[in-house]
Amino acid sequence: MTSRLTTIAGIVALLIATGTFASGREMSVEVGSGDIRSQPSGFSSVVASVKYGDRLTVVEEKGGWTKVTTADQKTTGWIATSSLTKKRIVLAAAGKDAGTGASSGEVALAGKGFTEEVEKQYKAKHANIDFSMIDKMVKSKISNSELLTFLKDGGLKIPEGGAK
Amino acid sequence: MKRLIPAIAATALVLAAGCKLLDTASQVATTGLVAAGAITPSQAEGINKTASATGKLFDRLTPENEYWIGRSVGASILQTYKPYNNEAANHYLNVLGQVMALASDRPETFGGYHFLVLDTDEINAFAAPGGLIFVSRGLIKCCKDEDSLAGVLAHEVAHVQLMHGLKSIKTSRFKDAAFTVGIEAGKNLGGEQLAQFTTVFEGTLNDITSTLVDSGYSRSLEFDADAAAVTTMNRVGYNPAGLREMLKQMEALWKPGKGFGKTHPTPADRIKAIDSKLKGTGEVAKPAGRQARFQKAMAGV
Repeated sequence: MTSRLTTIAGIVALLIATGTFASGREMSVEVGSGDIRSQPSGFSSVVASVKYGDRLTVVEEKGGWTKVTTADQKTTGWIATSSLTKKRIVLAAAGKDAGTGASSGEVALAGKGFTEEVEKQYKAKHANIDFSMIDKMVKSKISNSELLTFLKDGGLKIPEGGAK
Repeated sequence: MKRLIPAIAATALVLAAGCKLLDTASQVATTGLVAAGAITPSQAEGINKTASATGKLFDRLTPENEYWIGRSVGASILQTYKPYNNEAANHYLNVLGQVMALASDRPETFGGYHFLVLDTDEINAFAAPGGLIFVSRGLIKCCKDEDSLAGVLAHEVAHVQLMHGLKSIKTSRFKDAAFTVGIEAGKNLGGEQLAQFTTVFEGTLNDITSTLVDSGYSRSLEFDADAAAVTTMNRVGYNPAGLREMLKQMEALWKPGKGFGKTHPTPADRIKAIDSKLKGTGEVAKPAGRQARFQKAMAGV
């Protein structure tokens, strides 16, 4: 009996340690904008774009990529596992009390902590620091087709998926 | 198996005990804040919940926080180093950098990866948290081909992927009461709290920037970034020996106490650390198209 209890306790501990219990079937996007792709590879075609806080249903995971279905059930594809979190991301309403909105293990509050608001304060204190080049940098975007042409012209490999 | 299960259970207990220590620290901080009337008991509860739910302290920073930290770290670097005003060179760096980022274990970040050439002969590069990456003309000059430059960029992407910048934030920042309050609030912070939290932000930036510019990461983090770079290069078909070629060029131009000479292990030590991963890689081939575009984009550098 004791041995069986120990085994059960051990299994429970193992499941908690590996996060099996915590990993629900849904995950949230934790990048500003993310791409769902046709294959588990950063160079495969983009089938849908998702944004910060979007909930996705997990189908399977493979080598750093997670196969997901969008909330409207219309699209299934692969997104980098590093772009996802188990937490639910909620937007902080202006003036909302931090006590009711504060993050917990399951919930992350968007727009909390170091954010644009803090950058504004920092800029006000340090008027000499120029952010114009940073603003220019973050706006730049290289298209998927340009990347594919670059790989092809350079005689490089296009990873087919399961990169890890 | 029977022996293994109690061992796992014991490990879980140890982990839980570790979290408990953080709990205690957080509770002490929040209790004081409630007593001082700085936060409400419900805010304190929320904060304590978070502390108990997270393991490592820096995990309390979200990718969104990482993005806003990285912007200011980047702006601070550009106070010292001027951007290299060459559209072709910067565009090429961004295309190649994006390739390396997409092939890495962290293909996307909150604000994406963006690259910029710095107008200095000093051998240097900086990866600000979240993916703003700066590479000096001096470092690009150590690259004789695209494979070598791909190695440089993959190394910098690895610092972002492995969150080395965030890891250089001093633990004391997270213990600051103003951090504890501010990290959970943001928009709803009042004037005084926001001012205090901004001071914590400045300290955080200083920890990261001084590590990037002056003290450098530990040798092991640099070797980890090189190892990750080799993996990333292999995925898209760059010869990882390009990294070794670049390090050999760097060795000839090495200036102790300046740029990488101040912050990085010597090229010889880095070559030694990755050598086992480069067995059988042979010479770096220079396919005509690849070499032509590299030389064209980097002609003025």
